Amino acid sequence: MSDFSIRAPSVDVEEIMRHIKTRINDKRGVDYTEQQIQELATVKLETFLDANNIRSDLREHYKRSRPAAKHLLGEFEDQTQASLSRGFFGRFLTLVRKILTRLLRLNPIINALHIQEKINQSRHQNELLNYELLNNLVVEITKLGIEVKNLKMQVVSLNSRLDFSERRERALENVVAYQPGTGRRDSKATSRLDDAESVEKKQDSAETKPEPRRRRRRRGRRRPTGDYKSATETGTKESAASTPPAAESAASTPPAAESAASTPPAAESAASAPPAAESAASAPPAAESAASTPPAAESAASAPPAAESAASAPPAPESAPSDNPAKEAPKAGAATESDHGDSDVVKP
Amino acid sequence: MKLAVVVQRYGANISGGAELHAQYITEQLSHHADVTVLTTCATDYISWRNELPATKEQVGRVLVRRFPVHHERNPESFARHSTRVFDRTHSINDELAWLDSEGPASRALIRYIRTNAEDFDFFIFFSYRYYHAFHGVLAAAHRAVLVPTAERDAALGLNIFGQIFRNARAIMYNSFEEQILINAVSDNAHVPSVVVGVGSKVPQHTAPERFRRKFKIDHPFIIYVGRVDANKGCKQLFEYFIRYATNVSGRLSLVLIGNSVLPIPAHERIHHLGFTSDKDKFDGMAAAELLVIPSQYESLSMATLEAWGLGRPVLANGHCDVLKGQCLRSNAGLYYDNYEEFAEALHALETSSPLRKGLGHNGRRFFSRHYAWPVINRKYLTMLERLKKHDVATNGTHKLEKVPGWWTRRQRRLPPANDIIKALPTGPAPNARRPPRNSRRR
Repeated sequence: MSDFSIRAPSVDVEEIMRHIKTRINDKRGVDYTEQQIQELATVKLETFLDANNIRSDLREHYKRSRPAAKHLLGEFEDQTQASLSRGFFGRFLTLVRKILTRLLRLNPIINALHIQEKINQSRHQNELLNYELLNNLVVEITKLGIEVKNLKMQVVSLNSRLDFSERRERALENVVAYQPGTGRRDSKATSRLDDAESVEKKQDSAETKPEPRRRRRRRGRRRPTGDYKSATETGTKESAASTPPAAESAASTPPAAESAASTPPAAESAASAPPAAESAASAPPAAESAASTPPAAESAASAPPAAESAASAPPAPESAPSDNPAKEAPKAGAATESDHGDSDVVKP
Repeated sequence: MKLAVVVQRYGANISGGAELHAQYITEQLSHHADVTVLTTCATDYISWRNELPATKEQVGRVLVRRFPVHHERNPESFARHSTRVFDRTHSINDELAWLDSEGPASRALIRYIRTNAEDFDFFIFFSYRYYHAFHGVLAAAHRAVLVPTAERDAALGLNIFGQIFRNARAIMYNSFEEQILINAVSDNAHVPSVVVGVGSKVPQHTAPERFRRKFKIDHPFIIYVGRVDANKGCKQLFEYFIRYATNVSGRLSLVLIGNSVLPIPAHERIHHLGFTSDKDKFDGMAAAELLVIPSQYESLSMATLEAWGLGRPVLANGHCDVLKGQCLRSNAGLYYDNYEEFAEALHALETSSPLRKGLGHNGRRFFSRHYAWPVINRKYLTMLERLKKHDVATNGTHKLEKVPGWWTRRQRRLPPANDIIKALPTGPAPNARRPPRNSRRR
């Protein structure tokens, strides 16, 4: 999020809003906004997955496909016998029935047929209910499937945001953790410094020879990863000398050097973190985030503490006396920049 | 000049935008005319229960006459009528029934207006959507000046209100957007009108440090002033602000001033101060980085004007045409349509002090140019003088629109009000931003 360069009489809200919208579009690219994603999700479900429509169609289809099953056993009601036929044949049957009723007991058979008919009806209804249940399950599963897809999309989106937040957090830590003048340092940096100081003392006690020291210029990120230990030792040697090492460490890590040139806190962090490998390891994420993700870059560049401190006390690092190595770092960094490619040897 | 201000509620302890608007205008006009307030005995805008005595009392220079409400609002009946007229094809009688159920149905007030219409030069009616405004304007149309205080809600789409928008002698709009809406819905461009709005009692000197000390707020904050209500967009504001506080800003807080009808999230950077005195409110506004107005429906936000009067920028909901239009016309506020825009705009305002100062400067200038009391008074008095001259010229004749007949009132042919509203123009007033040169000279 970059800052606006506004002068009071020249504020134009329309232009600012256009700028804001353009920036959002640039950031998002072809990505959907959350609102759009939600709209798409709801519209899909409502328009294409109307459960009522699907269910009714399927039920009708089911009914049409099973007419035979329904009438397989026929319907048997109280008047079924009487309405079997009419006319002479009917009267004949009635007569026969009267005779037979005297001879046979038909009531149990009739009752059994009634029960059978009821069973048939309930079975048919159960089938319909089962089918409806099955259909509802299918609908729900489909809806869930779509919802799962949506959630997956959201998870992807959240992951990207989380990555961005982490990068931003790192960038902000680098900017805020070493504010000039406040003496604030995070515990990790303090422990780093303590370790470095203890190593420094050991080195000082070991190296009591007054020989002129020749030191090789460190190249923070180009160093192979296996050289961490030697890099630490070099760093401690450099930090044993008062100011130039800080300048070197600032110069040897290009991103940190850039930030050192621009903002005092970053300069301080670059100067006060002797292990070159660590500073090299910690600086690039800020630079990366500054380069790759606009929000982080903007927030890192325009974060209020950095911007305000840069605005309020910019001369401090440049004009401070040389007894404070941290404040001298930008100056030294600038000096080493000039002989960056010339030689690897710096005179004590 | 003898004026009557007709408003649904009136009193010192009554909160409400239109009521406060009416009160301010009454107090200002009382310096230039003999003003009587005609109102009801109700103080609660939901039930319209008679709570004050139906008497007349002198409040300063203003005589206040209160009339009893005929019946309280029945929420079930009101909801049923609302559904019918807003969502279904209906008749004029359905709309009248809706109006009666909405209230405050004070027949005594309407009777008084009808019988005493000639005793006053003009009646100034506030809030078009209530019973007193509709029947009052029709009872004294030849002397009716309407202050609609309309916003984009379904009631504006009802057919009956077209009658009063066309029959009133003059209309005092709050904004250009409101004028466009009402012109579109009622085709009343021929009615004399002016965009006025309302001023506010913004103090000359504020004490931001006193506010910070009193409420123990020592970090930068943004402020919301008004009823904390989901209808005012506060729910969305909470959601947006918490996201913003978590992801973007590590130090900005949100301070809320006003009664709450919404649960406020327990967040360390959201402070609800409740209802405060005007002094605290203005000091808080002066101490804030900016005022945030999340409401989608505003005919005129007085808090916005007050913030501009104090030289503070505003961050408004871009879905509200009026606020967006005012931000554009004044160059004194940013707006947002979604979270991304909210975050970007708020971040820009938070981090750029020159931007805040520039917007605040423009806001102060906009307020003093358009909403200072002398400007408001002049607009009202000019309009009333103009109407009076017209009366003299035309011998007081005012042509009224024909009232629908018995059969027409019962025919269910009117489309749902929501459909009417959907068809209305949206967005900030396009031509209002730069008024033509000749009109400015006038």
